Amino acid sequence: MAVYNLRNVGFKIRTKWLLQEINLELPSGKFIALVGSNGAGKTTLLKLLSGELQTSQGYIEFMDKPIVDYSLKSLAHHRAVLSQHRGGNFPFSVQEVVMMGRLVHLDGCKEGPKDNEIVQKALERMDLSSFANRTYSTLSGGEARRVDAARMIVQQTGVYLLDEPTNHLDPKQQVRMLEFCKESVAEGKTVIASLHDLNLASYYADMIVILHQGHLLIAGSPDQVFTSTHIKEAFGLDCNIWRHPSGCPWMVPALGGEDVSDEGMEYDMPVTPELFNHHKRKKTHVIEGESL
Amino acid sequence: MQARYLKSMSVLSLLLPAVLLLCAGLGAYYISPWKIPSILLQQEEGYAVLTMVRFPRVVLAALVGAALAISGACLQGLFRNPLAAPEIIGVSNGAAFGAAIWIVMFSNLMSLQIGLPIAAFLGGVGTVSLLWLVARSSGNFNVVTLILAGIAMNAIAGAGIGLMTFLSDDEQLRTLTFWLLGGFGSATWSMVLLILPFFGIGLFILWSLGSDLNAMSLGESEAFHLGVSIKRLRLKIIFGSALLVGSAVSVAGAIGFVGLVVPHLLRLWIGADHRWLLPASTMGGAMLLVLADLVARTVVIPAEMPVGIVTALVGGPFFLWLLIRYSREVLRGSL
Repeated sequence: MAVYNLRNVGFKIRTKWLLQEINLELPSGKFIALVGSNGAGKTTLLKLLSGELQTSQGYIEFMDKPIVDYSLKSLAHHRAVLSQHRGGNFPFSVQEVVMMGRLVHLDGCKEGPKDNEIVQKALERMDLSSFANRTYSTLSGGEARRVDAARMIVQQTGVYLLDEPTNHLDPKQQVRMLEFCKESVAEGKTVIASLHDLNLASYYADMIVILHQGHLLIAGSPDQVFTSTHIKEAFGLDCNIWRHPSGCPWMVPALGGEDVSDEGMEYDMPVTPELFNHHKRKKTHVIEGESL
Repeated sequence: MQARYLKSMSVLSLLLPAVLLLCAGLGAYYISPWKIPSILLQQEEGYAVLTMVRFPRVVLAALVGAALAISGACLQGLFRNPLAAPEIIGVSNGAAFGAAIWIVMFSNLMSLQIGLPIAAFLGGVGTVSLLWLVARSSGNFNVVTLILAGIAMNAIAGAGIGLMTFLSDDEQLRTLTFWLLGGFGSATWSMVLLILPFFGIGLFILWSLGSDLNAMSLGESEAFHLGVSIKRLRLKIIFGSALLVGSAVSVAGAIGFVGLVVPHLLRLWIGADHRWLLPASTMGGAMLLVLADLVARTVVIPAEMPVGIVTALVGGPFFLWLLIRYSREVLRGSL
């Protein structure tokens, strides 16, 4: 079943089209990564999916119903969003900020013990228990990101939309954030995230959507999508595609300007220097052979 | 968390009646606050002073203070900025401009008392709406933009009031000048009754916005994601705060800094949660202005100082302190 069904979707500001002719079905219960260079339209697409922006052309169905037919409240019951913006000029505590995620469930009432319990669990899950009484606006970028994620959890929705969730996070926290996405998918949720790190996307996501200059370049499994041709087209970057021990494609930019091929897909990632050198020699040999 | 809020709220709600009674007793003619109940019951000496002079004055000052403070708290929430206050961003002066138009252009209708708060309300609505338009089109509305926009608003309203003064005849000029001086020296029960409906409706609208304003502090998009209708919230705050500021200005002139100081101090004390901050600001604003009025009318007995001077003496330095405190954030552009 598709969570989102996009038919010929376009979005423009005045006369400039930011997205055009997007036809896409996003399956439920999967981790879907949106990738593309800066300005490719990832954030715009996420804003269309969250209902924050409305299409200039075509239509979006969200769980078999046009997204424009949802009320604000019922949208808030069905999807939660982790955006890049961080608000907070007022001295709210971490716990209070997370509790705001319960807004649509509280519906004007004061929070009860059940809400407190849900918030505590979310804080624990994000390793924030010791932060509960800290002031949100004094946290570091990475800590605030985790608080935002906890707020997303307590909204208790089936769909998570995340705009570059790994931004501002150190390498360990990036992995933790993506592990969290993966766990959420295992719980039956649909996670749609824009990501810049192609290798993390390849490793964690079930489906990759590449956007290029406002158009859909390709969508599919990491294996189908991550080829050197696609990477070259979308990012203008020469990349060798190797295979990670887990089986997913692993992209290594050709920094030395060497020739590029997908043939590394035939091999596992070189894990030791010897293997790496061996691989390089072999490759050089092949290329020389061809040129001769 | 909850317990802390409950504690500070009960302290506030015990303090408020105490402050009101104290201020009703103190003044050029001293009445012991302890005797007030018996004076009222047995109509002893001082009864007339209390019921005809002190009570209307204290109640009016309390209503005006409450109106300014809760409007300040809501505008700060709407603009996501601790420095937004009706006086600083020009709402008070906009309302005063509306009232001045009424006094000068519609002087043949002056017997229609309700016109004054309505005109002030319309002036307030105009100002907040204009500010919101500026905020929207400039995208990121930081404190510098906000204060500059406030300077512009105050300048426009000031020019408008000047124009009205220029256009007025002798009789109108007297009314206008007298009214512009502001203060509670001429407070009567009929003034209280006049603004009570405005006050009631405004308070009713704003008090319910606590959790929406909390979500709004995260950002407009974030509030939208949590299910808050920004349009409706904005409309309610523009309408509600203009009602409150308009009615306050129409009876007391433009009194500065209450809407800035009260929410800020309370935020330091009880925290940022608007569900508690809004009622707390209402009580705190009432107390602050009643006390300021007490100072204004006792410090130079038998004369009276305009209450605006007292609030400006407290509020001006406070505003500077806030600017210094936030200067780093302002420079960084995060506020």
